[in-house]
Amino acid sequence: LTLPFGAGANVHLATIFSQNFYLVTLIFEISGTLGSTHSVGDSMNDESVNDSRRRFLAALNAVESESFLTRLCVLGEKLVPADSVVIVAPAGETIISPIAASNQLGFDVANLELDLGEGPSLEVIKTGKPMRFADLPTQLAPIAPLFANRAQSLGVAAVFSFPIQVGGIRLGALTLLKSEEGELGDSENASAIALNDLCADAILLLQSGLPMETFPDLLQGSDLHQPKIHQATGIIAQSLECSMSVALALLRARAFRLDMSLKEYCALVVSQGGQNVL
Amino acid sequence: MIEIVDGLVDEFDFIDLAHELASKSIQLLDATVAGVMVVDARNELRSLAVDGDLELADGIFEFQTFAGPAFDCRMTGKAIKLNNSQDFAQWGEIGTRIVNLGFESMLVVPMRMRAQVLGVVQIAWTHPSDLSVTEIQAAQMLADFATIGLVQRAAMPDRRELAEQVEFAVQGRILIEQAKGMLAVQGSFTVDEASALLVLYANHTNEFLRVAAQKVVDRELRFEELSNVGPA
Repeated sequence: LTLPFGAGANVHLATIFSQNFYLVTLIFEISGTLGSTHSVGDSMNDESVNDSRRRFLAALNAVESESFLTRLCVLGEKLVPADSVVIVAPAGETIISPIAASNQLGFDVANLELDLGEGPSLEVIKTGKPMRFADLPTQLAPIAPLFANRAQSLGVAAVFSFPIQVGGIRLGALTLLKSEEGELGDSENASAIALNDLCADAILLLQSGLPMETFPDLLQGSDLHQPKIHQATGIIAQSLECSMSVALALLRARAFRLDMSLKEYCALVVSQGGQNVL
Repeated sequence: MIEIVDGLVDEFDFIDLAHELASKSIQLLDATVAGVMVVDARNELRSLAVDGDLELADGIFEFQTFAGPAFDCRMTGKAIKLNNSQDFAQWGEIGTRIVNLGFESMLVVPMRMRAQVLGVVQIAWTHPSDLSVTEIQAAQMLADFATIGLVQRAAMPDRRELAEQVEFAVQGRILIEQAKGMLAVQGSFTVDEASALLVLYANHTNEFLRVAAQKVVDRELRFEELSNVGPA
């Protein structure tokens, strides 16, 4: 390898990355700040997302409800905290349906989105990206004027909505409603992310048809970041011609019955190319 | 209709850059595997893109969330160089697992933005290697490209926006893995072969990997069409 370094090296690499040519100008703008300091600060959230997750799991049994998702919403309302927490599921291109809420306000606001055909949860489901509206009149009104107006009259001043998804599996949106304007603080934000993760895990568990008593244990050990889990999901979705979320639910249910971890079972499915595994 | 996505996303997707950097690392440094890992909002290292021997890559990238050379590089912000298999001993069990996969040397460089480590670029070989300063600088430059790609044009990126950007990329990786699984069954391929096909298709059509993967998952694109695209 004989790369000339100094300015020439950037040009050399630029030709390699011709598709990202604009990065080269950026490297000059920012390179002064890259690696220029010796104190390495820590992390984005100081592990508070994981702390929040533990906090949620520890408090799970303190909430009574026949619906596991309602329990998560009620916990979210208390622990984030928010004035209401609602989970909506996609029900077609421009339709959502509320599936759980911590109180009536959550249902009312979700139904408002459904009636008006506009609002934060719909945007989140469409884009797969979180939406933060710390102040409805200035931030949401330009985008969804009817919704912003009506939500305000219900006493909502800020809305934070997060996609509940696993790659191509769009499970829905988690929406936090607040009666006071303002951004989420760091710990509130960490709690929202932890709650969002738990919602994804819980909806998938519900789809697997496993008994609710097993949820707390399975939620403790959940790790949806292993590539083989997602490869296996694609393999099953294609083999059985089912949706991606059904495929993942089947894998989870099968792993549970075989007393294997999801990761172990998925590795098996991938190694056998989907043959004779379900 | 609302324009939510900021301007750059229309023409740029970090997942594609991460794949390109992994592949360039292999070419430039003649490596066995290379990959880009980022720190997510849960403060954990997530692998976004790997290239080279994918079966080996999965092993080396996936189990370093809580320990290992990549983890240490991320915590200290300093490059870590392992010239031969003895050098792995200091990482105990993780080191042994990496050596047992067949690796004998490794280089991990940080993706640094000021005092913050956003992720690492990890490069490994199945033979011992005595890397020159130039080679280490080359790897660091690739990592700097990754950093800039991740923070995009924001000179002072908002922490939360950055975390959302990372999450978006992580979800993209998951989508791509799901698509690979579907393609593998369609064409009776291994997952690794499906992966190569998807990357080749994206390169030749100039389509984002994420977009191609979404089409596969939505059953709008099948392996036959992917296979038909190739060098003229």
